[in-house]
Amino acid sequence: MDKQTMVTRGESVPHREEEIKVASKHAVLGNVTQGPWPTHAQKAYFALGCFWGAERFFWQLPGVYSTSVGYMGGFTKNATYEDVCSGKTAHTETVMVVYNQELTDFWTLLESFWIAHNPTQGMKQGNDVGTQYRSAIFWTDDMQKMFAEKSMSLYQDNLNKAGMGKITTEIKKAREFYFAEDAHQQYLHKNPNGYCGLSGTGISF
Amino acid sequence: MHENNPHSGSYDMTALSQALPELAPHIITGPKGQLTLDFSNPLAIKALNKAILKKDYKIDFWDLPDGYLCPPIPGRVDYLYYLNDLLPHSNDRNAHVLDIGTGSNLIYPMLGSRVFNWRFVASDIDNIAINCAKQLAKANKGLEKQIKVRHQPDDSKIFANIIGKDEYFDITLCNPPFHASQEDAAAGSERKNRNLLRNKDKRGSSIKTDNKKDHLNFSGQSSELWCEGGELAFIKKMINQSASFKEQVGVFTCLVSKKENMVAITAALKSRDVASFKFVEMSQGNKISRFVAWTFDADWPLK
Repeated sequence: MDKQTMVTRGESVPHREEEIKVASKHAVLGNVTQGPWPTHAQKAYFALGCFWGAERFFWQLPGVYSTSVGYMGGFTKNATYEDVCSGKTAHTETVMVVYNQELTDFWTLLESFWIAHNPTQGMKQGNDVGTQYRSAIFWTDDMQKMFAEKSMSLYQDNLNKAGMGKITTEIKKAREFYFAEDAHQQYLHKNPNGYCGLSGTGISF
Repeated sequence: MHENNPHSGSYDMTALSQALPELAPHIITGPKGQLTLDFSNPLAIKALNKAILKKDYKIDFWDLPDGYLCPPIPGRVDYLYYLNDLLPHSNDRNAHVLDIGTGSNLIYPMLGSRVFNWRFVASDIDNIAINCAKQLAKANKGLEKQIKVRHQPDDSKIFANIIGKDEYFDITLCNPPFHASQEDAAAGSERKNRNLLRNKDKRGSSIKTDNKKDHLNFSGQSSELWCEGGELAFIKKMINQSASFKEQVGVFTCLVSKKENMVAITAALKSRDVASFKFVEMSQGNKISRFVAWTFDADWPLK
């Protein structure tokens, strides 16, 4: 099948009963991965290609309290990595970023998001091809939506000036985040020589 | 209006909708055939604000989450022009200004830095407002350098926690919460809405944006609208606390919406031995508003 075509709900892998369990502590930051969150914690969800490199990119940013990888934007509840790689869940590989809003803010994360990957590639990112690698911002409130849309139009202006293409990033309301299997959490910390295909356009924000 | 306020005529709807095409669908023809807006529609008000900010102030991005106060620009600009009159013009550096309770809209710092090139510190007790204000400053090129946004963690304090140990402000400004309770705020909003329906052409009405409650337009966050004791209690608290910062602030100011509060404010200022004070009256159309200004600096009397 063509992995760059979104499956419909009818074609998607059926739901799974069992939730995927992950470690309660972040392997790098040492903070909790599933709450309870400290007072100034805020959540944001970004998809920018293979989640191994994407997660590492975010846990290294100042003010980030915790990160996790998972699946969002598709149909299949409690999808497994294998389900997602089949291209039949419509999920995209997503990083949940929990940040301290006293130390950073959503706008700063957005700026980092745009320059970290190439948001003009549609249903792929670099060598990774398929709907599971599409770029997305899943907003959690009106304010995030408003700033996400604005940052996209600003970055599009910069790309236009450089003769680059149209941004294909999906900006949608966040739905259920399904944690990926524990082996994928903080993967590049556990596997320092692991694959990372994350690469930006070279155009600044 | 202040003689230098550029918003004295009627809005040029054609030019504004050229600056911001999303304003165009809100433009209607008034009873005298003029182009106007439905001022009772919060979405129209928000689009108007965006267009004015873009066209006249080169602020490309301004927006609000639903439910936060949408400030009328002409009146806000007026206060800033009158504040400018109180500044010592011998200063060759840009004035350092403190905005107390900036709200998520960050309107005074944005306008003040564009019109007068002032540098701002903006404070608020509401976390969501601070979060929004910070990002608005970042999303507009050049503003982040001029505007610092600080959260006031203690709602009983006005200047403490915000003014740093070695900081000096030429002037402070504040648009205080007017109402004494949430019920009061709701009643006021309902009254305003009735007046608006009667006189749809009135300019610069402070409509709150909330597309879910089109009728009452009563949204605005609690800290934007009311505080214990209403504006009088708030201004008295500000006067009392200002005495501790008299070395660090040139002139303190605060809007006063209720004329009947002037007597009590005068008494509070006298009891604190301020060096001088004055009430400055502003008029926009048939609406009169005013602010109070005071200083502890005897060498710099307010005239």
